[in-house]
Amino acid sequence: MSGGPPVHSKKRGAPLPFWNSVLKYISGAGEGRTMFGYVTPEKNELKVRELARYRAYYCGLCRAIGDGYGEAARLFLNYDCAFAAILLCGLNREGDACVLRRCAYKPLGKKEPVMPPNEQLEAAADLNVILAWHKLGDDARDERSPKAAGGRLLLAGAHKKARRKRPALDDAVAEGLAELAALERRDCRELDAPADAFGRTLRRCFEHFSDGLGSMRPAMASLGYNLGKWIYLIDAWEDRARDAKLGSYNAFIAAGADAERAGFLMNYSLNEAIAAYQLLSLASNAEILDNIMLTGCTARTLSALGGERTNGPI
Amino acid sequence: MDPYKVLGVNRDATQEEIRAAYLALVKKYHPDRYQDPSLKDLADERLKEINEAYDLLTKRSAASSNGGASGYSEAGYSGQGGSYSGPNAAEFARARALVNANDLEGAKRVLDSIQTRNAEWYYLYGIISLREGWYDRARDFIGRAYFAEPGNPEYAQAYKTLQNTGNPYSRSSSYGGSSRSCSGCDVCGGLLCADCCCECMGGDLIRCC
Repeated sequence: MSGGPPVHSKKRGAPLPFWNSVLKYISGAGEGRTMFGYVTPEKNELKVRELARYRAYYCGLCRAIGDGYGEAARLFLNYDCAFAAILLCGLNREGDACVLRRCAYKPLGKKEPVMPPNEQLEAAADLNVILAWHKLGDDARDERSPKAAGGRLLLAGAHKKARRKRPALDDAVAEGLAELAALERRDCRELDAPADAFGRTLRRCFEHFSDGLGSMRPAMASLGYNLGKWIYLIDAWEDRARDAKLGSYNAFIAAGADAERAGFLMNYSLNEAIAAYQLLSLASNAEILDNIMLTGCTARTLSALGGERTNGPI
Repeated sequence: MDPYKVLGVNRDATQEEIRAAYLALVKKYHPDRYQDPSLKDLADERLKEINEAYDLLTKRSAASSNGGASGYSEAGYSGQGGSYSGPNAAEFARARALVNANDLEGAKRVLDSIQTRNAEWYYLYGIISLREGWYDRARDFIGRAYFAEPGNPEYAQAYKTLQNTGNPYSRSSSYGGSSRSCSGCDVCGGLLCADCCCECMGGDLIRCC
């Protein structure tokens, strides 16, 4: 689920099988415990223009990462940061118009609508690089994954730059994930604790981007916290089999929690995130964000709990 | 303030449409949905705005409505409850006051000092856990309080709200849809069932089968 630029190159654009498989291999570094790509829209429920706009943000974020951090960093693009970009733009900007651009990864493809660069896309690009860097660090350390180590080499320069730009954000993510790693190392049996640690990490990220939002800051904080909890829980739930096989820590296995308990916790966290989200006043992008928060994430929870997957690739 | 924009309706909306939009919004920003005091404040602000917009659009004079009087008004946090009168009543009252003042650490310290682990203890600790985002523990503790004293309306209400919020979100019921939808299959199934029952008793509901 973690991204990389040529997401829909299968159907459109140039077939670049070799290049694509290389990209997939690298950007899928530390596969399994992905922790990215859960906050996505329910495509079937989007209007065509909303889907086009969603993709325009995704492309816009990809370009922002490329412009800010170089080509290699684009491989670590993910949907959750696309959500962050759409949210930050929706909070701070009236609807921007897209421009038509051709993707360098699909040189024979049509020109596609792309969101032109802006401050919020840059912010989401910073977040993307920082989250991806620390995530790779965790994988390289915990799982001794050579892919993650390779990914870290690719991303090192970008991270250095992002850290220089946003030291507070980088520290917040580093500290939060270190706390989480400590809980995992001591085989924490309390389901709330690791989810809480990851939730607080994402809360600090959201707070970092809440400047100028005034009274909406607590709502952003709560959205970040509960969305973080939800991501952690759904990720851990889906990784049970893999973690059991590898003998790595899994919060649900450690707590001996069943599907009913997992479902309650995921739904509760998501519903709290939705309640907080609904307190935000958006200047634009309300339709897409409503789709992601109210429909996409809820459907994703159900599919994690054993329901059928209804959503195709975005 | 543009009342149409606040209620999210068109300028040519009918009174019924305005009322429907208003009721949906009141449900959406209902204070029961928000545990955190700062979020509750935000929701209250929204409600105030929504009430004002509704008053403007339903042509009520601003003087007679005076804030939320004519529309929805907040019921307030049920924290004044607590008719508790068992052992350690003074400590429990102090813990409850601290929870209401959102001093969660202080409330925890008071509760930790109490040896009795009764329904009230689990209830208050559960509410603290809920505010802190420890939903798994909150359900465990509030559940213990509720099952120990099912007759206590405060525990029952907290447990019910908690369980509802743990249901998947559905747009129609605003939060944690507890309502079960009735699909076409349910209707047909029900009719066939009724038909069979009628036939057993000698009658017939659906002639052809």
